[in-house]
Amino acid sequence: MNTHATVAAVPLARRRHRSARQLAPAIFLAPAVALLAMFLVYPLLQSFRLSLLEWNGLGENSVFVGLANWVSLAKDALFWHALGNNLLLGLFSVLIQLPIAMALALLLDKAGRGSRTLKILYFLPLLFSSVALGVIFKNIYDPNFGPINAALNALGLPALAKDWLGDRSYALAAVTAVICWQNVPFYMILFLAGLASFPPDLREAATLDGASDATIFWKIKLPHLQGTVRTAAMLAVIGSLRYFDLIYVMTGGGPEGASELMATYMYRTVFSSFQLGYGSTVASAMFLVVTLIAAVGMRLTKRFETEV
Amino acid sequence: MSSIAMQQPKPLTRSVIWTLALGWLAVTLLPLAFVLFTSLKSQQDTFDSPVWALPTHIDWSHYASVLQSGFFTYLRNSLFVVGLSVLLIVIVSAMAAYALARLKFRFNKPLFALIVAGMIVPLHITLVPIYLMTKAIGLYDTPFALIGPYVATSLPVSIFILAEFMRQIPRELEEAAELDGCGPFTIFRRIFLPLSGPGVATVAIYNAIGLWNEFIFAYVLTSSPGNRTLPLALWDFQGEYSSNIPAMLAVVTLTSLPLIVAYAFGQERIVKGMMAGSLKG
Amino acid sequence: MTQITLQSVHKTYGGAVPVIRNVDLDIGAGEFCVFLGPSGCGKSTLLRMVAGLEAISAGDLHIGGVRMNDVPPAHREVAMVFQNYALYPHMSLFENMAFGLRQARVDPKEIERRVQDAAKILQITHLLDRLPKALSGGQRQRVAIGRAIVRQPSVFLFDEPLSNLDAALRVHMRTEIARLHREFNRASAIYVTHDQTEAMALADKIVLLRAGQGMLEHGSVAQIGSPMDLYHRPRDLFVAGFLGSPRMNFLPATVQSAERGEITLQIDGNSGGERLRLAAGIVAPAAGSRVTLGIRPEHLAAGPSDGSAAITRRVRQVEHFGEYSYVYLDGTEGEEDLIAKVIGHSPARPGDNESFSIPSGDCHVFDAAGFALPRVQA
Repeated sequence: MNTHATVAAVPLARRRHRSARQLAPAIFLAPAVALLAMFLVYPLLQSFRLSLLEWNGLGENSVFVGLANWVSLAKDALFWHALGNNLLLGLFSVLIQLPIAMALALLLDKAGRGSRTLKILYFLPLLFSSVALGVIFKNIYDPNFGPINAALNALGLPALAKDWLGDRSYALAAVTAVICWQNVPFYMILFLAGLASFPPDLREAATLDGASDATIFWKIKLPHLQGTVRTAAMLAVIGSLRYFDLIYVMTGGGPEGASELMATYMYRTVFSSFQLGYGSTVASAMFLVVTLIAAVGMRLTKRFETEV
Repeated sequence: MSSIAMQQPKPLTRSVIWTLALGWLAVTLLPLAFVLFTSLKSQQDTFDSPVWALPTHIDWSHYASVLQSGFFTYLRNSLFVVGLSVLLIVIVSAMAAYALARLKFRFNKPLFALIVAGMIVPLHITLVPIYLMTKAIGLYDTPFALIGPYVATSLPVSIFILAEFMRQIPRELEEAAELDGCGPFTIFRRIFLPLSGPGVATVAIYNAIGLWNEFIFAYVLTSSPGNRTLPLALWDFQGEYSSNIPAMLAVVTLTSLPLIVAYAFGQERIVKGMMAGSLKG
Repeated sequence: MTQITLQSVHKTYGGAVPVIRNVDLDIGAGEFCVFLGPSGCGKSTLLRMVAGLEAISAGDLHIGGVRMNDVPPAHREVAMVFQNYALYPHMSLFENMAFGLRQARVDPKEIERRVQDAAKILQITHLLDRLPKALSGGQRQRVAIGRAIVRQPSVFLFDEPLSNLDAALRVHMRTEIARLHREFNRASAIYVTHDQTEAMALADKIVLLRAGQGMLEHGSVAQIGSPMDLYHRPRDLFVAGFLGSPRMNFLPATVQSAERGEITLQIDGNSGGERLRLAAGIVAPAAGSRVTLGIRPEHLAAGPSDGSAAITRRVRQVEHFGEYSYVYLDGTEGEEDLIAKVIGHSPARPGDNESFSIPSGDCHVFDAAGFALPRVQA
């Protein structure tokens, strides 16, 4: 590494070094950008383009209809019903899953001994694919052979034994129950992580100040967790807007659209009714709804953001 | 006042806590127990004995017939598709994360925001266009059809996670490497990649699990059983075993088994992996 | 032969926020130069500009006579020891030290030789296979230094290398660094620190840098010189107050008269203050002008005065350290306490009135703008 050789080599190395530096970001980002453009951006735009067509997907017989599909969508009772179901699902997801998850998290946080085993077992529902769960609960809810009704009958309550998935009044609720069953552990772990980051000195200080456990929870722990709760709520709401697999397998959106969601409606429109144009309209509308709700949700709950 | 900090919760509270805990445990485990027991009953058994009763004798025939009817083909396809996808995801997202976390260039911040925003996009909206595209390219009904969509849709989350990891690597290490004469490629290869081990593992696990259970794209982009992945096995077998409840539940158990076995071996890793996309909030 | 030259160097962030202004500096071959200053003065930034890790906004940098503004760091013949050591955590110590040489495609046998030599000098030969996390702070620091040594640079750059070590280790490593520099005395060194003790101990030349308003008005460099230069002949109030602990005592005053090497000062005070006659040999300031009298704590002599310059103040507090004592006296109204350093155990007690004489030869007089009035004799 003597001075002469290095100094002489500097101009060439300088040039090579500089061009490598400038090109580096582009090279590192190229594969990701290409893939995202091809499979995320292009389909997104394509979906909007298709929504302007009337097409059955076979052959070249597509017809440009402008915004006609969108007008139909605005008047489509089935779509709005599906959207309503999505929102109901979101609402109940938050109202049911989060409190239970919070309760379990607090429980495990306090329990100490045995909590590790419990945590391991509680997590199991998340390992199953939605399809598997769909089949499982379809059987569980079966009015004739399913364990729920069998148990109700055995307990002498035949009146409560309904056709859970086949009865319009119960279908959505039955499906929501399964979704809660699957996702509670997820939020439980989320809250546990939040609780774990709770500094123990705060609790000790509060205890020395004479605060009861309940006070400590409501006035100290919960505010500490507000960032996490906000994240959980956002995830639950946005997640519920995108649900498909489970519903499709359990009820297909039925009976008679009782448990129809935007995604299942879209699927049926495209693959059963062969209306690619209209189906794409539904899909695009879904995208707009999700983006809108996500943006609004983030703004409204900004004040709950945890300071990092 | 001296032992307040170390006080145990009162006995009443404890029993309430444990009742709730065990209650939820029952809620969690009963459906799974039901599946297991029923899958081991003969079909006759399910008609004769009460639903909650244990099998009168253990009948493995359902499992046998499922394993023999092409189950392993589905398994093989899943392993291939998920394996290749995760490998590509790790490489592509690591490169992109490095560029976004550490290289200075215009549009760095907006590009990162855009990619992260991609996490919100509901995948079903890309379903139909991708279906059309896959058919046009001629990859329809091959396992390869899934690789592109799987990798692309996993990129936003993976890049987000890895970028966070890479930001934690001290700037001084980069500067020392610069002084040692390394260009950005060498720094990436010899410093960032090795030090991102935990981040890469997290991304790999998170995506592996998510893609393993992926249904809708596999359903739409493949049609013949020889090319389908494990979640589709359930769907396909529904036709064959429509009224044979134990057999269906045997399929459910078998298709869920790989993930449960993996979980048994490393729950900490898997739990952390699955939560990865959300823990940062 | 000058090794490093900085000419009119400026640095601004985002084109608007100035951080470093007007630095002109020569560092000779083998010189140990310390960049010293308060936080925000840009000393680390200046070092990094020499290293090539930060761009130079304006001005020129020459190393070994070659203009280095646009040369990448690896080609500048410099090696750097970072504050947090910057050791590659996934590589063994040997690999850490060899990394740079491998990048430069040095012959493997040569690499082996250099690393072993450096390890021997730094007494870490037995640790070469370990990973950084298995080492203590002091050991890691040594490896960081070793990594710099093997590159055989013309200039060693140190960025506050000792600030993460505990006090005892810091003193030990300080002498180590001085010893190493003597062994490699063809190479220059630039050492950044905020600790004036380190600066005084290690430097051949100190560059004291300013921050804030002072930097904007007068440029970044307050004074350049040997430690004794800066200590005994500070150019302004900032330099005088920065070096020396406890800080120099400052007494605001008005010049009564100045004739033939003797000036009379009226020290501020609510009841008239003291009137001091000093044979200071200072270039005469105009009568009536405002000045600041500076006198270091160790130069205030306890006991009855033998001349005509003495101050008597009430003692506020006394601290005993065995070998010496600090006596805190009432300062001028609204100003800080005066401190006198007394050898041995001072008999003064809080509440007493004590007299301290001010030897003319040891005082400094600063004009209204804060600059030292020059002495008449050389």
